[in-house]
Amino acid sequence: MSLKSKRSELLASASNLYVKLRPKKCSQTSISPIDTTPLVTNFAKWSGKRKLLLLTKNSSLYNETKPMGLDCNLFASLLSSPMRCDKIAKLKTPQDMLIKLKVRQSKTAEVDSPQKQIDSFNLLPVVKSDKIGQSSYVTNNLRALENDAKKANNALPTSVRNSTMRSIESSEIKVDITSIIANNKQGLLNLIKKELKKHQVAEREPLLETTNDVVFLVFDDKLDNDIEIGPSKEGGERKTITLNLKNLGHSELGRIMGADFVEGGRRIFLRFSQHQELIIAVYKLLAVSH
Amino acid sequence: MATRRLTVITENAIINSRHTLILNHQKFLLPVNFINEYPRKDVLKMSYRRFMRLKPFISQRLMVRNTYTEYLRYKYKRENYLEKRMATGIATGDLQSCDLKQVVNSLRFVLKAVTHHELSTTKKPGHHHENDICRRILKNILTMEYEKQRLIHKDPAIYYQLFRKTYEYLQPFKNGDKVNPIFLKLFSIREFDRCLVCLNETLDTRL
Repeated sequence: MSLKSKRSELLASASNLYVKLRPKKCSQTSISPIDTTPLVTNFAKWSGKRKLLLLTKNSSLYNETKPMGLDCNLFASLLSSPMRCDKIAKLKTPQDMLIKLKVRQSKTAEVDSPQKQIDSFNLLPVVKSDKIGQSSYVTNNLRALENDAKKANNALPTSVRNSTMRSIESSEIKVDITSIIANNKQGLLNLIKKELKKHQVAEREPLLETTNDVVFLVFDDKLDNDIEIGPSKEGGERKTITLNLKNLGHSELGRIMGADFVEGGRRIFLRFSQHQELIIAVYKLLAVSH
Repeated sequence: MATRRLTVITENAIINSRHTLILNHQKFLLPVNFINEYPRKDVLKMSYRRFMRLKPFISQRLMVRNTYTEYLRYKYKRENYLEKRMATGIATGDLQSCDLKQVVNSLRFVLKAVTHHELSTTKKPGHHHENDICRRILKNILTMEYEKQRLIHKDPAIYYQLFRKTYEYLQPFKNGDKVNPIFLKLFSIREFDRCLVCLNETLDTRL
């Protein structure tokens, strides 16, 4: 009896051992797809791509980056224009603060025989943006340009100056600083005249404005500065931007803006979102005539 | 050829073929209402630290990142902004007493310059466009700062005084007066800085 029981015990333990040693079957539970690879948790540090903060709707960053009204801000628009090299001062400056120049061909009568016409080349300012041909940029101020008058020839576009593969010599191109400034001024004045005609300019100040896109044009001999930014009459966060045109001369302005603007101290009210080109032209005109 | 759309998603970031988009931004943000909660000295230190943390986002070039650091250091340690603002003669109103608010707004401006909008969050196209403007302005400010540093390095006796201490070059030109030829040479920088002061006035920042 004891032998039998011993045998059965042995058999049971052997089968237990067999169960223990038997290779387990793989569990058939489904594996979720890996969305974060554990091997590259710090991949962001060495990915070599430009780093940015991702803004999602739920993040707290969303409240921090509320709109600031930059798309209708005059100064934001001037400061954000692409950087170009000022050829004479050798300094990089936003494009909107410079004068764009291009070489233009024109026909002029020869000195000896007026019937004969010859080609002449001039370096002239471009008021409206024009992408044809090579261009260069110089400072938008007469005094600053006259100060560096000796370097005037540097203002030629690099391709015109350096290339040997062209039919005209760089010395044949006329570079005259005074005429560049005068042409630029005239071009801007024409642009202002055209834009003023195109848009209906409101005379009265709008109420309850919250953004900074309101610009006033005034003619006031008492004010010292061309640009002034002060708190608005209604208070609040809005600021009033005033451009004073007193330096531009009575006669030309009177012709463009109307005589009562120059004499009667009238204020013209513009909105940057509507009259963008006009306001930038006025700003440039002020910088030229400092 | 079509660009490959390879995206690696990790815990901290989403990396696609163009950008590394960081997901956790807690350490770049300031605590809520912190101007009133902490003493002035701490507020300045906290904001400085956050500006510095944004350094890797400014550019991939070391030179630009160094310019950013130098600019921040100068802004926090040396700059007398009131004098600079007075020199331009542009602003007529009183300077708001709370300059800390301007610091917070400036941090907000830099944050805007380095954020990427998830496409679904942009309802209006303007929102995305504004971040772009911020980025371009910041880039231009740093380029201009580099130009200034270059000039200071060239001739510290003249340019350090001008750019960092007296700000005389910002003064408005008066009709008929003779202007110092150095100021005329720096006309572009002058225009840029005057414009920047104007922008600061309208946005209530201190860039």
